[in-house]
Amino acid sequence: MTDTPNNGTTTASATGAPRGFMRRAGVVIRTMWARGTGRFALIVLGAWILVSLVSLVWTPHSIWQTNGYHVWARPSADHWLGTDGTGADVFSWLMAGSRTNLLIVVLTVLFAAAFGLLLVAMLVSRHTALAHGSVVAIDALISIPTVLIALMLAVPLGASVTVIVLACGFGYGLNLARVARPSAMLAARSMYVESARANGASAPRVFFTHIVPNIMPVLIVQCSLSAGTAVLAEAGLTYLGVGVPSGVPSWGHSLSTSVRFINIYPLTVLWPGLIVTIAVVALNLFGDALREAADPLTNPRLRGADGRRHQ
Amino acid sequence: MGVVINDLNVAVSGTPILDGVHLDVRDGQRVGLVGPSGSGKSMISRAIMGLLPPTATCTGSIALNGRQLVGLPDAELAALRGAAVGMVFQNPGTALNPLLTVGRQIALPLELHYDVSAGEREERVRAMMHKVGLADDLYKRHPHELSGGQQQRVGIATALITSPRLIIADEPTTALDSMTQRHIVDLLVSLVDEAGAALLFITHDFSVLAHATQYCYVLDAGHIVEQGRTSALLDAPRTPQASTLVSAARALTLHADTTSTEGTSTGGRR
Repeated sequence: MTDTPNNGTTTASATGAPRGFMRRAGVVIRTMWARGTGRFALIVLGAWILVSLVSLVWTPHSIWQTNGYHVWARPSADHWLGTDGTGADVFSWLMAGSRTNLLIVVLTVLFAAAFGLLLVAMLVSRHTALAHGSVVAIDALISIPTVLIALMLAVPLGASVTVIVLACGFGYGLNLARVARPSAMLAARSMYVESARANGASAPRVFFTHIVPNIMPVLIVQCSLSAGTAVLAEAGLTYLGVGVPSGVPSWGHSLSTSVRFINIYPLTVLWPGLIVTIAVVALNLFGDALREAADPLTNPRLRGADGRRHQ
Repeated sequence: MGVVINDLNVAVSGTPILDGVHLDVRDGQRVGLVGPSGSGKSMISRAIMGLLPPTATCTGSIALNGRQLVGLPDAELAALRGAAVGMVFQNPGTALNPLLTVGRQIALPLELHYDVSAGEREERVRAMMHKVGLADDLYKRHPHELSGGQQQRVGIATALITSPRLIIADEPTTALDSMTQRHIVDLLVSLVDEAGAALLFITHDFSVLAHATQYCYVLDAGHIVEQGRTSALLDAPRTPQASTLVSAARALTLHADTTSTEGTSTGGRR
């Protein structure tokens, strides 16, 4: 890459990698957009990201603005989704909560994917002792409920975003490894991996160039399920008091403060519940649509076109 | 130079697979290795590549261009694989990573062993594609868009891109139809001869063997039972194992061989 470009072809291919990636990303997004479920997922996730960013600089009311004379208000022009038990604006709290939830989802999925891939690498390792040992270890660890891990982590860490990310990332990473294991084994024992090794590829290179891309469909779906479950787990753990600390806005926080009054003021529970549901559905659909759109074997638009354009 | 194997013993989980194998492939030589399924043919190629299963034990000597391979650490073996030894696989459809384009696939050994710029790499890959008879517009195609013959051409291009001194072809034509077989063997032979490299051709197909090799070894249950010039061995096998193989192959392949010649004259390559 560092060599001086000396002609047209060299220049074209030297910048080819990032441009090719952008082009492929464009094709993937257009393919997802073309399908109803993919479009729904893209719109919801796009709106989520947008609202998170906007909430950093603007919300209809300050989330700290309370009013003891105006609690549990019904939706009105001033308070679009009404107010909660302190008289604070529900809509503003949900807006502000979206950024916390986005952060939790992103960090949890990143941690789960990194941890899960490390486990998959161990599972397909050629050191048989390591491979067999990790199967047993994963099966043993997977039996520990995520909530229990979170409760144990909350002892030293207190209620915090870190607890949710670590507990969920750990649990979902184990899950990802166990779900991805069969297809990873299939790839690891394939002739193309043997061929790569016969060409002198090292174990890490075989893993990242040949195994991971070929199990990507499983990884994408598993990560999107993890993302959806992370939203639900945030709500659950925050309700139990080991999730997001009180005072930090999150959808789980909005739910847990109003859920006790569900029989009296059902609407204040409905809004965060609805948002959590829509977000989880969108995340799961996003994974499905991405899996289909990003696989060159199922998406003909990802292949060929490039070659024809260059010839 | 080439590869010289002396008294090679390989056992997998205690079961002996190869027993005292002697085998020589010199530069510029095309050597066949035949034997029934399960006789240990592929184990010899794996031993040369240093790709024996983790539970295998290996004793004896494998000298590649004068360098002892048995007991070499894996990192040093990996530096030789794909650079000093190229390998063509049996089933081209599964030996190519389904997600890599033809261009990237062929470039893999170059990426691993040589520090060349992306532009130069592409130039070399395109030159190699031209050599093995792959059209230029296949560069950005994926393996599943190719025919079996084209896929095996990609396999050959990948094996030869680094100009290795030894090429091991492990039943490279078994998965192809008889007409394509002939083209692939012709291509392999001409490229190996042009490079002056050594070829170890593993097969159980005698019609291909006569065509591709000058000398050959017959392997049976882990022992080399017979060796000699390919034509002589096919005409008059001396050992019962070899004559069984030859007569069985003759009954099966002579018919296929005549039809494949006719096919070539009328059909031509795709």
